[in-house]
Amino acid sequence: MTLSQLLAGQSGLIQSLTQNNHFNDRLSALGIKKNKIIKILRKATFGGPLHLQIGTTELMVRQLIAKEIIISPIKN
Amino acid sequence: MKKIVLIGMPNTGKSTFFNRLSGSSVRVGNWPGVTVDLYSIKTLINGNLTELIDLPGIYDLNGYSEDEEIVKNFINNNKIDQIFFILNSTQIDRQLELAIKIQKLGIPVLILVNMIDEAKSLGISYNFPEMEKMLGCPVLPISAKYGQGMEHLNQKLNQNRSIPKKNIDGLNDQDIAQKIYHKTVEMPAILNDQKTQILDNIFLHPWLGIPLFLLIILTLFQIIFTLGAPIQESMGNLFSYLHINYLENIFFNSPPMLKSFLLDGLYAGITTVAAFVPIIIIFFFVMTVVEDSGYFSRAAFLMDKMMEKIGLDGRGFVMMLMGYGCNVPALMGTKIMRSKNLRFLTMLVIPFSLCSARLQVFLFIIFSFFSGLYGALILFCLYLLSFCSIFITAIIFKQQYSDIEPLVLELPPYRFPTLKQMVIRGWQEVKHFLNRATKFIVIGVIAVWVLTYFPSEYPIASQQTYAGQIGLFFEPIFKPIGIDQMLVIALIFGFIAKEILIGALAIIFGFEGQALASYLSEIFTNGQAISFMIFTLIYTPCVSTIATLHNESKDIKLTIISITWSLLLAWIASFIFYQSYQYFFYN
Repeated sequence: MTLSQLLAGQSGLIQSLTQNNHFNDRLSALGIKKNKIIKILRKATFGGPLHLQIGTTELMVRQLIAKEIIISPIKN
Repeated sequence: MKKIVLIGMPNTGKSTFFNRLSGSSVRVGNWPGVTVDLYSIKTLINGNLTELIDLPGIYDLNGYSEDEEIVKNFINNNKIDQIFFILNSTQIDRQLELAIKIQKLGIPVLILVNMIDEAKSLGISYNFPEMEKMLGCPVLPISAKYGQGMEHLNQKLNQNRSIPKKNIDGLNDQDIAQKIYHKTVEMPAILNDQKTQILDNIFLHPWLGIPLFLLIILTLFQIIFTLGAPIQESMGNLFSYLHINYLENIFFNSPPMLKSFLLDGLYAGITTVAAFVPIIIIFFFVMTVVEDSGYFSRAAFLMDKMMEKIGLDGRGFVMMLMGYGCNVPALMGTKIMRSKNLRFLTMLVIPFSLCSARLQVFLFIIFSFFSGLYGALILFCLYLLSFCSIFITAIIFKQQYSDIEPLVLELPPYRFPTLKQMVIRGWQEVKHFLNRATKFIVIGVIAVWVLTYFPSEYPIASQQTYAGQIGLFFEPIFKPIGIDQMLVIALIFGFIAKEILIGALAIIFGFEGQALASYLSEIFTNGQAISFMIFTLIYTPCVSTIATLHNESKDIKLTIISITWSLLLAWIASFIFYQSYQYFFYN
């Protein structure tokens, strides 16, 4: 499933990133990499961006990108 | 002289470190290989006079983003003796990899592990001696904000060559970085920044978040303008006092043309520039708090969805709102957007924000023509029109300035900036504005003086002057929107600053204050008045805005687009209004 399908409060293990290599370089510099655990802290209303946590870093990412990131959900 | 560059990812406290070393002796300059301005200082480091250059924050060295390109070109085109690589100690897990890549450039590197105070309070512990051995370069833990560790800088620089590098087996940089991280950093099992979590639950609340944001912005707005407006006003009074009581006397016997040039041209230009100084300082005082506190990225989070549709982002919304106070600092504030196209598109829409100077003009005209409820309604519609102009402009130009970088923003923990950080920021921005915009603004003001003064045998701003002739020439174009030759002259004055537009009307029609108000309402219809306000709202806000837009973008094309598009849109909007007004009221 994709990152955008996770609900607020849920976590997932990243399986693969986007189709765009340049995007992926940027994402991994910010800590979004394969085999990392990513948690959705909250989602903005009206389909706005996601508030994510990876390690000690908190980020906002738009749905468009989150739809391309494949994860496997982790049971809390 | 030695050259040291400062490299690091965004949000690592690079500028805080830079400002700590520099105080306020910062120089803005151009460098071989790069087209943007970079901040640098000359200071004594380790006994040598050293030039320290602050390079833009980067995520990688592959040159994908504009900033990465700048850093790469700078390194390739300048001889550099030393790199200070600064990283955020709480995010060391993902930042070590870039440190390793930087080391491969073959220039001595000192790694500064910044924000060590925050790492300590989170309970993160480090083995720095081991980290130095594994990386093969000196590592210094510091807190740039509070000054911890800075006293060991020289000692660490002397250590540069004496650290033998351990051999680490790794498939790639990422692998090596992970090995070093696991060997030398110990994170507590649960990282708990409760303060940030609690604040986020409030500020990012699903339905309280946005009202709270608007309330906060409104409050900041009030702070900026209740502090700024009286200062600006008293400066204005001081300048006119000097003008009337001293300068007039000094130049009493000078030839009239010289006197008019010096006082109405040069002096008016310089005072126009000076009037912006207090507002810029206070604005950036407040902006420093908003940005450094971490609230700015939260605001961006809240407003992002709405702005995404028109090709902008949440940060653009905040700057746009700030533009409703004054466009100039709002344009300067777009620097934080590192993607060029996104920044350009934001710069293109900011001048349509109905700033406080335009508000003054509208209040005067509305007061002259309309009463009570009607007046309030018209003012409300002008604000609405300002919003519409922003949206229309963004939608039209979003293809041309479409953002290619993915929008990924960090939401840093909530912090409070020190007073020193706020003062330095305010001072730097003012210096930047004065250095870069003064020439342009003074030239603009003098150009308007020439147009309204010559030929000099006629009264200033009369129909026979160049401005009047331009007005006459363009009258066929302005007639369909209800603006006559004399009002065109006023619009030419309005190009300098909207603050002087009412003064210009006074010069043109020979009445002041209440008399001017009643005279205007006699000779112009309500429709003409509204059409004039619509045009005033949308066309070029002032020469300072253009100067700032040009300096910040360094792009002549964008500047020209901004000017011509706003004139065109102003005409179209006034035309639609005035023609329908004529149709409904006179048919």
